[in-house]
Amino acid sequence: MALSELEQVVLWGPPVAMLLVTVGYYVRWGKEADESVDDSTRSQSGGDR
Amino acid sequence: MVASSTITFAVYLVVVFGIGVFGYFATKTFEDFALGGRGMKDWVVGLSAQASDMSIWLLVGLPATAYAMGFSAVWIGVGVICGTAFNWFFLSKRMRRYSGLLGSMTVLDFLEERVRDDYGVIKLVGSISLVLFYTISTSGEFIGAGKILNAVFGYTFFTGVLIGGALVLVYTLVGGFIAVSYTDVLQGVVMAVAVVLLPVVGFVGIGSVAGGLTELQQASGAAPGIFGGSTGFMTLVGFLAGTLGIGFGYPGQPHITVRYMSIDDHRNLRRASLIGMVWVIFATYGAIFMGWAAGAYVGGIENTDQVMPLLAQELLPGWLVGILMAGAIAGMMSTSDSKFLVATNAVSYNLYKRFVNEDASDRKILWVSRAVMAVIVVAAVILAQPSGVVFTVILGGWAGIGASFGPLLIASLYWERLNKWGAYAGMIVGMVTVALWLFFDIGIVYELIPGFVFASVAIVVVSLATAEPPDAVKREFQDATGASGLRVEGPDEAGTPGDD
Repeated sequence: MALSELEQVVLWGPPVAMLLVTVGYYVRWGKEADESVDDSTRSQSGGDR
Repeated sequence: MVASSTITFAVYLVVVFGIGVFGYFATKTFEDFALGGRGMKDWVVGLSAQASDMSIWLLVGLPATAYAMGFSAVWIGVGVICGTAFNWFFLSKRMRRYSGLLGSMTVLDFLEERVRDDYGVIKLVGSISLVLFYTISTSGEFIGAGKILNAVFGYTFFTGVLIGGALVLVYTLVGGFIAVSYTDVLQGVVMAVAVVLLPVVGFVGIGSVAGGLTELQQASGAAPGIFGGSTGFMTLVGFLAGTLGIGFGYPGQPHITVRYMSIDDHRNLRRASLIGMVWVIFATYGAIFMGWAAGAYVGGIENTDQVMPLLAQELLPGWLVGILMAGAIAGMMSTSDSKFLVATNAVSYNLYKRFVNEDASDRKILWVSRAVMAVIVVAAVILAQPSGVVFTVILGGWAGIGASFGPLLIASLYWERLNKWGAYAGMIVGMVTVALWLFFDIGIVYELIPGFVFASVAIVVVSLATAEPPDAVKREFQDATGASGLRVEGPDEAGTPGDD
């Protein structure tokens, strides 16, 4: 007996997809967001109100 | 078995209390107590955010629910990882940067400053919500402690609850944020070992996932199919709202989001998110698999909250059972102490200092926090009843906090037009909706869903119907979200408490 194809997708799809998104965020999207903030703010100083 | 498991259980707790003593000496000011001095490292934030989130719900409540639901419990996993991902990817950095800019030490502090609530309504309503719903969910944690200690060590349920309450109380009274964060890391590791080890050992013996699910259906009567036998459109919607809907609670949990505020630099949240997300994916699905495996080994359980301890006793040697039970109790401690920390800070710092004694010293506020904490623990112990189901009770508290704070926190970080009137409306509507849903036992759908939706509508409608926020608030929003080009990130550049 084995899980049906649909059950396999429902079971393994979300965690695998989320792992990929997480790795993508770490190596690319999150990094780009950090860099874009740094680039756009380089000419400014301070942050204290 | 009891002797060896008792020894390892006790050793673990001694280690945890050792960290608590370290935290006691490292806590010198209220900022240390409440926010770890805003200098926590990425790996500490990543693991502690997840450990404080998951609690005994992960090791007791979720396996019990997976045991009862069968395959359809997988939707709970989807809801949990999606909610966690939203927090890490969309909330954490803005939260850290904005709260740093405003010099906020607590989530309520941040919300008040964000909308310039000069009447103190947010802190008043928010504190009531935190104390009320955290007490409810903590009573669920204590129910779990009572059932675990009963199943493994033979204590009566109420003795187990008292032991759990005492452990949390003493531990949190000693440490504060620093101790809480570091023990959360340790407990995060132990919980991860538990949710990987038990299902792996279990399914190696069973042979296949499908085989385990078949045995589970015979043992627990779990309905087959990916939607658990839900038929008809409305039933299906209700089912998905009750499982996926858990994810809607994530943005509004101050005991989790405050971790983002504590990191030393918002840029380090990227690594913290990697650690946190990997942990939560393995932990959540491990707990579900644990419940599925139980059918083959400990079928016919009446009290499903005892699935995990009974399975551990069936599959593992005594000393390892002791460590895993300590891990479960640790889960309770890590979440309860985090919640107490947030709730007591809300009362002591946001209410006591603001309305009772404006000149209170840090030391005095610290002691008020500890006194309030003791009162909440006692209330949670009294509320813990053996008929309670861990999964359900904890999710009731989760819904109340999630609806009170979630829509408002999202709006405060992403919607410039939010004003204080909209904030008041959202927080009150979210809190009252969930409270009424629980009190009158309305059912139909998980109480978080109507609470979240009504609160969101209230925020938008009332904000648009009243005056725009002041220009200073708009500029601040643009600075914090990067729209204005002003650099606000990093501990050295961002405002620290008291500098404004």
